[in-house]
Amino acid sequence: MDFELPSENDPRRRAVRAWCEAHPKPTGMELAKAGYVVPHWPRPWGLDAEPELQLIIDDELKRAGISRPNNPVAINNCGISLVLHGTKEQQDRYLWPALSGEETWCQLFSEPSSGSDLASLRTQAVLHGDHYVINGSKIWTSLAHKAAIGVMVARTNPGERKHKGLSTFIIDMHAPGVEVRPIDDMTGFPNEYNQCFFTDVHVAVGNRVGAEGDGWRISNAQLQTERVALAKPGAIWGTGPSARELVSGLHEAGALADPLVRQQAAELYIEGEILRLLKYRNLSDRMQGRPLGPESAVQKALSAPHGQRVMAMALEWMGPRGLLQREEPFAGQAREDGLSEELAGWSWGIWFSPAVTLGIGTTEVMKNVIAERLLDMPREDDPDVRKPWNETQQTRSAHERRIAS
Amino acid sequence: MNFAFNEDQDRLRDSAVRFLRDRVDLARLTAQGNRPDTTYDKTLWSEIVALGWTGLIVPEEYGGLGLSLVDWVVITEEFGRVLAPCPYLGNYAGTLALLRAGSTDQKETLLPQIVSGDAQAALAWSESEQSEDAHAVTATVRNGRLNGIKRYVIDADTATHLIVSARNTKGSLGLYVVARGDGVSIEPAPWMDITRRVCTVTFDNARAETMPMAFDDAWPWITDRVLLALASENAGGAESILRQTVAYANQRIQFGKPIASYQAIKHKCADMMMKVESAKALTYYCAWALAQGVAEGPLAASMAKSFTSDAYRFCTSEAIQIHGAIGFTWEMTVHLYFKRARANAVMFGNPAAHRERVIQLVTAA
Repeated sequence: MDFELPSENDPRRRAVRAWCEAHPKPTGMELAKAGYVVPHWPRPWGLDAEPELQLIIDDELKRAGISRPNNPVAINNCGISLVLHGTKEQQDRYLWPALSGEETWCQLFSEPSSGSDLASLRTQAVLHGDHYVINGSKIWTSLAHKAAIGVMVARTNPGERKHKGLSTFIIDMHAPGVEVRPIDDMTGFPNEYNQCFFTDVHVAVGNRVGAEGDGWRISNAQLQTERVALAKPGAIWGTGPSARELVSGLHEAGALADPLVRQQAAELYIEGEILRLLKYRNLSDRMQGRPLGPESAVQKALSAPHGQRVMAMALEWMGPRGLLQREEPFAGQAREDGLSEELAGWSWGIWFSPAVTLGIGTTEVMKNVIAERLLDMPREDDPDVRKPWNETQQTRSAHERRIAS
Repeated sequence: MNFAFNEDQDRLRDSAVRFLRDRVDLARLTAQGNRPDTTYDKTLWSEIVALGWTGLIVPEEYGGLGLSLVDWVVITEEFGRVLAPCPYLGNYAGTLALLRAGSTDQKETLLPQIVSGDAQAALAWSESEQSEDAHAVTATVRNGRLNGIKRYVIDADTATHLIVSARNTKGSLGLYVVARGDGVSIEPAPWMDITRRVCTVTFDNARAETMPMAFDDAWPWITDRVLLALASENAGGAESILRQTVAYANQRIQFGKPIASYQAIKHKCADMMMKVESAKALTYYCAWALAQGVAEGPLAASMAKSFTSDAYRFCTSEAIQIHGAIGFTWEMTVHLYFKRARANAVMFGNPAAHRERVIQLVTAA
């Protein structure tokens, strides 16, 4: 048991600090070439950094006031798929502009009729000589309205079982036939999500990642390689305000004089600390090279409802004032993550919070994962899993017709 | 950073798991028609003493093993997992008080005897029905003689020495060592958790020996470690009842399928597991924080006690529901866990009292 981080005098820390001093205002490309954008990736993009070095780099960049290029889908999610499964040409063309932040990426996975059951997706990629023709629609795509590049999972073989007939593609989001429509969500803040439509979009065979039929395996592998991070205390998917900030805000506002408020605040504070510890445990498992323990799925399943409770308490405490647009409960609060209030403040968090038990995996799906994979309880029966995908669609359209009539 | 037990600790856990699995038999307590008041297993206890587990955290100079609180938690969690019916907890509460507040002479005399099993300690502090306020003490010591009544004293009836809080003639609070003998009468309480013995102790001019450390210096240190022990028991017990419940749900067939295949049951079990993993994380962090003496130690102790108590009560409630009516019978061990959870939750401060302390500590800075 040891909860301490590498010391001030650690030589790895001193090396990063020296680089930051030599590059006080680095460009995105300078940061990328130094390996500091994705230190956990292999060279030349990363440093093959062990988790402790990753934390040191996070720490030192924060201390120097340097932020990484903002390209979360490439950096945290999809980029690694090109490293693991991409060709040399794909890596050379796409990775450096992604890591330097010059080309924003988006992830084209969910569909209107495929949410939790992602593998049932319908978007089709049909091979015509040297290119595929893509038709279909993707939804809940963050950043699609700003993205140059999309990473898509589409169906290349409808006669195969649903998990087997999928392939991964790199899409030019400015290609003819791509249309991006913003989704206005209930927060009233500028749109975060989009629906994307693909009509006869041509994608060169060279932009398929991995072999045909590898799409499911590639997107799953991506989930295993998430970057370790400590500096994400926020209650809304790691961003936004935290339970600690709720308690300090209530304290400064004098609200903790009420014994019921004290009890509820303490409960949320303890939950927040538990989530912090479960993250530490996950991190330490990675650091020691151990297989990930149950805390990873547990952490995910606990953190979303916790975020909702933190937001609900702030809203209730505000009273009618909480219903005012863009109203913040605690004036001038210094934020633990250093973000400004407008970017991810309480008001945003309060009205965004219903989404956190939906995205990334609903609470119900996460509980199934815990019960089935960690407690070895029987798996849910999926009648589609052993049939060719196109047969499952006949059943499905018959069902949809019945409901419509 | 390393959030894991080392190889020695893993070995220690393995030996505890094997020993307790072979020796603890709860079925003895749940035989139909058997409603025992006295449940402690003397053979079990003598074997525990022989293993040196009465001296896990006693320094080697006093004959103990000199292990850390993290090592101690490994064993304590296993005791909690099987509800080992023996005076492990009460003896450690008394031992901790001696370690903290005892004079060198008191430690040199008593600790080696406790380790060897020749003596056994208990901690007598609560006088109220609620067992909350350590300062609400009316027991008094005058001319080395103690008078008063202490309630809910864990493992007093097997103890040879009681560590007792009392006021002197000036009214100031302190801790005293009282050897069992004239003027000490011990009455076991009709306690619902039959895996543990809890007693009322009456002192009538009993000879009491002063312990040198001021009460307010000694008490938080002692109780934070007792809270850690209770949290470890809670985490181990909650995990055990989760495993037992999943096993039952996997074998119970209704409507042609194991009930474990129904999402309503799976989600209950997933909720239990989320509580269990949280309880373990807080408990281990608390052990580390107290062992290292970092500033968050007391905060960690109150967080661990309040959360693990609620978690244990939640898991044992759900366990009865998932077992169905059979879980409500005396012959199943589920009720033993249910009752232990409720007993631990209210000993040394209930969850609400510890949440209050959490807020005090967090906002004090």
